[in-house]
Amino acid sequence: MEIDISEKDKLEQEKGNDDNSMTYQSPGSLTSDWHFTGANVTTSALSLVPSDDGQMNACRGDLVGVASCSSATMEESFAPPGLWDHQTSSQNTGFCDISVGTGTPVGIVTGGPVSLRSSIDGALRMGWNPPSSVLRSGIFLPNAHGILPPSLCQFPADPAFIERAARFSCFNSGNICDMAHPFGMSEVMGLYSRGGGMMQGLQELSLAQKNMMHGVGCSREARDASLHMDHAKPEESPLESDRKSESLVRSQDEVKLGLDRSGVDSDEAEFSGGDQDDATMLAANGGKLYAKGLNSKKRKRNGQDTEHDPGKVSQQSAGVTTDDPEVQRKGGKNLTSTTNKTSGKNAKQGSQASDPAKEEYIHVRARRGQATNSHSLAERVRREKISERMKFLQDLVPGCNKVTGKAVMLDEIINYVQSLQRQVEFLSMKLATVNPRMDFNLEGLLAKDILTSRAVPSASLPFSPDLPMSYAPLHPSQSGLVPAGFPAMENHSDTLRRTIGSQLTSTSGEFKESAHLPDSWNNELHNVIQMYGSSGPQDSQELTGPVAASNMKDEP
Amino acid sequence: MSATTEQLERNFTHRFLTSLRRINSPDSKTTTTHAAGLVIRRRSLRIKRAAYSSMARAAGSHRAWTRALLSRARSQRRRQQHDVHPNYIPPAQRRKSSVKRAAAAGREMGRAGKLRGLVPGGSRMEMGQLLEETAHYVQCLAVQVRVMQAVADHFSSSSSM
Repeated sequence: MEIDISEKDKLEQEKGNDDNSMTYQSPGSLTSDWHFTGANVTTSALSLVPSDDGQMNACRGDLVGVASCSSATMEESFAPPGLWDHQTSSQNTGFCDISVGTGTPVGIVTGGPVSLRSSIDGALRMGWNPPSSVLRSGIFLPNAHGILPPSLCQFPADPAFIERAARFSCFNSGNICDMAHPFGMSEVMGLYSRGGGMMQGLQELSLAQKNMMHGVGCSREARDASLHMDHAKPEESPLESDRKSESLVRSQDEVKLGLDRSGVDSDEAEFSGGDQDDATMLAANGGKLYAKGLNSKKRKRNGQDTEHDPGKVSQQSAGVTTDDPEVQRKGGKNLTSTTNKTSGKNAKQGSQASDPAKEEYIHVRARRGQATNSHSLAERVRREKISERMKFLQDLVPGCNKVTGKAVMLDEIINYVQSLQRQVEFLSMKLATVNPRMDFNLEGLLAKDILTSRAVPSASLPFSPDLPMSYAPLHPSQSGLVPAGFPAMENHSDTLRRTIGSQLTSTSGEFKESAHLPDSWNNELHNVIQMYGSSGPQDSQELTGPVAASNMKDEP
Repeated sequence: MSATTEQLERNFTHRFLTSLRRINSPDSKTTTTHAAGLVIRRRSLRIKRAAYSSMARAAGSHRAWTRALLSRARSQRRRQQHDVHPNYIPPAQRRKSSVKRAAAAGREMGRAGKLRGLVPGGSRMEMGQLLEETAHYVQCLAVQVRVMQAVADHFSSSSSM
């Protein structure tokens, strides 16, 4: 302990924290608490728990134990003081995840490590005073090299970590708003709120993001959010966050509580969310800390993938640090948890769960068991980024929930885009035929149109289905996106499209543009028509539309 | 629908209806000299282009695909307008960049190349950005289809009445 404390002090000083020597609570008490917390975290992680003082306390107890464990590991990896941020963050993350229970979202958006520290301090003060100091010290202090018993390997850095996480989450959310990403924002915000509780110690944003994503499901959002954030924001923060998340993961692994944490689960959780996943996983698995030395190592070393036995925290930390400088220079790739990938590669499951928080820029941390080559790290970051985006697209494209795999997913996306473009063409053709008599008042039209889209009183729309025809049978459930098709009518489209069919029949005269229809269109139309029971005259109308559209060949 | 989607929809609707009015009322170009079918076809082409341009403007230029789409529309317009000058070459559009990009997009095997062809500006992006742009593009396309459908329905119903 003393060693740890001294180390902590050193570290603290580097950061300028004043809390170095903080109360290092008895591991025993913490341990028990931590275990408890871990369990709580796991359960609560998914449900976004910011709450819990009780958990926090538990965490604290655990933290001490963890701190000791982590500190040991930290020592190993904590070679260069300069890596403090990385390391601490990693440790924090590792530990902080566990301390999800703290749930006091720091909500402090910090630009970087410095801010983190302050935030951590602040966060710590919030609820954590004693543990905070402990945590911080824990973070910095590499524990005695002896590996603490798993139960004790809790995150000493939880409070600090949580602060960071919170900070990250705050930061993330802030960024996300800035990003004005239409679909990212809601998610991000959601993530943020969720993560806030968990992430206090998390280091950079990425961590926060991860934490926010408590469940695996969230992870995706977190990842998306983080992705967006990455784009929107300067890279360093994501990198830091990634770093932190990674460290988080690692620390968790290292800590390895007595809880059973399926490394795979955590890995998966992390994986889905990328950095955020890590955090989430950590939280989720709160109880499952792996006393993975590697994790701790990873935290310390950015971008170092070293395979170490989970049990050997110290060793791992040492290994991880090798590539840090390289990784740092890499910049730009947040490797968030490619846990999935790592798990594939890593023999050690334990480390995987914790891992991956690869930060975006500079602090890409290699996952356990993965190559530490800077190229592979960057590649991994890129892959994670892409998989995250694919997940987002999966939500967007109707009927893709069951699809797994990039290739099939891409096919679906392509089909969907093509069908949408066909619909545009068809609709433009329809509008061309309809519009000649359009002398409308724009404002009136607009108002009417908007009103109609919200609440049209009309009737059936045998016609409307023809648009989405190619897709309607496939994705009947997607109401929001595809206006076409009856299945999608639940939304405002319903109001839009009522009674068009009957009305269209009357206007059939306008539609007699062409008589011949391509077979494909015919088939589609017939299918649609049969599906929706449109009548004969409408058929002609419908057919002309698609025919014209197909003839025109879309060229958006 | 999220707030941004609603805002996008309103924006797009406004622009689209404005251009629709412009297309339909003056009708200086639509001509009587052409067959009725051609008139409709030409108009539908213009409407389609107007729809895409309106959506691109409504979505904002911070998106790569909107910029690519608008620049493509601009060059198309120039090409059409400058038909009298056959020697006119839209700057930076021909040859190398476009051909190379198109070839590259086509050369890329499989689905990614197809997707690049579908999303405006997709040939220039790498995979990660391509996916992101695709997501946003899909959202905007959905809004576009929805609004166009509503407008078409509205006009159909009103005209039938």
